[in-house]
Amino acid sequence: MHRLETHVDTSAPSYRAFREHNLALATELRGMLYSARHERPQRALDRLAEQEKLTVRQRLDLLLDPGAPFLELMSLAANRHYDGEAPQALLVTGIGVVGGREVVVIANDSSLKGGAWYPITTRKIVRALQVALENRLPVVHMLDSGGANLHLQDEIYATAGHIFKQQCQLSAAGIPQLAVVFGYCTAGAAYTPTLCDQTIMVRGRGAVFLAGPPLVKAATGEEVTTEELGGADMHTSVSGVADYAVDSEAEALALARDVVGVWSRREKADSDRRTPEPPFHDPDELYGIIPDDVKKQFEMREVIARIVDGSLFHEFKPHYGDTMVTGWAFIWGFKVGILANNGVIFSEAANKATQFMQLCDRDGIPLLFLHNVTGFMVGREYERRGITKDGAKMLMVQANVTVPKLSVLCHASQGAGNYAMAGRTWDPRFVYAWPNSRSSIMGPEQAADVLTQVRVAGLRRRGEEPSPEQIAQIRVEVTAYFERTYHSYYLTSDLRDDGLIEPTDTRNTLGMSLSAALNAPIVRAPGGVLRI
Amino acid sequence: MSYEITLEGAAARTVDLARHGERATVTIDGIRYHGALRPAGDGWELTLEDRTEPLWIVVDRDAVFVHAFGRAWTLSVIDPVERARGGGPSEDVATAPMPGAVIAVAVAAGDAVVQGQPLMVIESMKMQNEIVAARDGVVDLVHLEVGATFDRGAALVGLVPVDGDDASDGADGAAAAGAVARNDGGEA
Repeated sequence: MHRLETHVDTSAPSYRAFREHNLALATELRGMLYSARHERPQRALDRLAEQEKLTVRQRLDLLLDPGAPFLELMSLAANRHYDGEAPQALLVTGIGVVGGREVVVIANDSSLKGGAWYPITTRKIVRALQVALENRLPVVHMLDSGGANLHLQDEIYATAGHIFKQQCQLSAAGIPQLAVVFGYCTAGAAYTPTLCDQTIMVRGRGAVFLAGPPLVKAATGEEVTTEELGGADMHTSVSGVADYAVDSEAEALALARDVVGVWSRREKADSDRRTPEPPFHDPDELYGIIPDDVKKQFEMREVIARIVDGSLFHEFKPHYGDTMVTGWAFIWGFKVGILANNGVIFSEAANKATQFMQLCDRDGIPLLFLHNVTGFMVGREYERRGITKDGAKMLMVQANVTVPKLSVLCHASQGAGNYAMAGRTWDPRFVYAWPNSRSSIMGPEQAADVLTQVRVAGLRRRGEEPSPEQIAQIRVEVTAYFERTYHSYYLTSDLRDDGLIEPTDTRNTLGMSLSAALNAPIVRAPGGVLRI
Repeated sequence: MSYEITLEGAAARTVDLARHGERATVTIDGIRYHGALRPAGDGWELTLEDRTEPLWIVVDRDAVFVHAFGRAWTLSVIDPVERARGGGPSEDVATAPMPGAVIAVAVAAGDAVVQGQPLMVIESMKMQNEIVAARDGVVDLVHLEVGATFDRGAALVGLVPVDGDDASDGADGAAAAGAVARNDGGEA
């Protein structure tokens, strides 16, 4: 491997302009994250205090190993949905360290709306459990939710069943789960603690039942208190629905750490590792490298040089299909095979990517996809040479590799280029996005062109001749729709990635993700590598 | 791995390096030395046979600056793989990497340009690419105007041809000097 050379001119006006632009985006992101995690109305905090409840962040502090990193996932869920009334979809999830072992934490945030589930909350839990299943990570559920937001029950009910099914699958796969019940788990939600291997309940606060006292009274006329119906003592001494009753949240979390500490440890997957070293080239320079417009191209090797150990990279097929950079490097000591776009994908670039993925899959090397792609090349020459066939080969191999895949949307990620590069819908183990990134089926300008033509043709068929103002209006509407829906904040709000990250956090985020991914064994694909 | 190393401008010598973790065997002129390099404070600790010395290393591309044994040393290290990868003589004409349209033209015939200077911006497949000068030179001809479309391989901007090796060596030297200056700023 060789140290990547840099050709960045840090004194160039464009570098300084890009840097200013991207630092502003980073500041905005930090502000958004702080607000979503910590800013709550005083009355909400007062109400928690009255109930002698901790905030979800205080609970996490007590659960997780002090000083260990917490890889929070989907932190800005729902930031552009529900008028912003459900920050983080009222749920915190991520990969944390408890007693030295990595676990997925899924924790309700009851500071607002009683921690009610919104449709995105449900999908966020499903995604968190998928992370646990795919990476064989134990789960700690921290339950404190008023249940489904019944005004939105349709969308919630459409996906909520997955949660309980995944819990059953986790159990069958031998992946332990612990529930800590801080509040009510009513109706369907009662199954989450009950499907766990072990469950802790807080006396006087936690309750588990299929129907609470008011519904029981309405249904059968029976009058019963919450504690009698589903309290900690009843469930741990009479029904056996739960296992441990404790007097306080602090005690519950201390016990939770003890429970996790007893779970048996598994060796991580065998993979090529070496002693980590920081990149030789300063990651902070990423801010001046990423352009201020998603249409502007940049050299992806400059990004690789600021993410990988020692800025060391062995490039594969450097003279072939040069819009796809492929090669091997180490990130925090973990070997990865990198596929990075340096522009639109041509047939040669697709074939090189396909060959490289087969090599890595055979050798058990995780794949990292760095996106800056607007799609596959179009035009007569390229169609005649079978660009779609070469794209299909790339998709076929990418979908079926068994090594872990990680994706980072660094800039543009559009059209089938997003698919080929293991975008969200291709189920990479983890996918992150930079705040400057944009992703959509095509670019806003192209969409505006197409839709304007379609609408104008439609009006003409009805014998109407659209005025220039009408045509301009169509273009404005289409562009506004695209600008809104291909924006990184919108996409992360809808869980189209596992989180927006600052470019300088990419290396640490990927290091933790690789470490998590290696909790699952790497199955090496048999068969030879095709030089396609 | 075999390197060609020049110390303080003396004749280049071939040095073979075999690493075993932080330990290594170094072969110079057929004689083998056993040693190790370990991080120590803000520098390194070099052990060679039974002698241990602190040292500090700054690497800037092929140039290595070492502070050891009470003085500073300048070495030039040539890695055979990187040497082979170095670009050949630069083309006189910048050509289109893919079909597209011209968005902006930054130079006119007769302009002096330096390596890396933007000549033209093209757009293709929703992406704007800067076409930059491959070497120092003077613009001979801008082949296309703003708005013009072109096929892959089309000539975009030509530089006045220069005679063979001397000039391109000079250009490489200037480029290397420029990169060195930038690195000093970046790593300080």
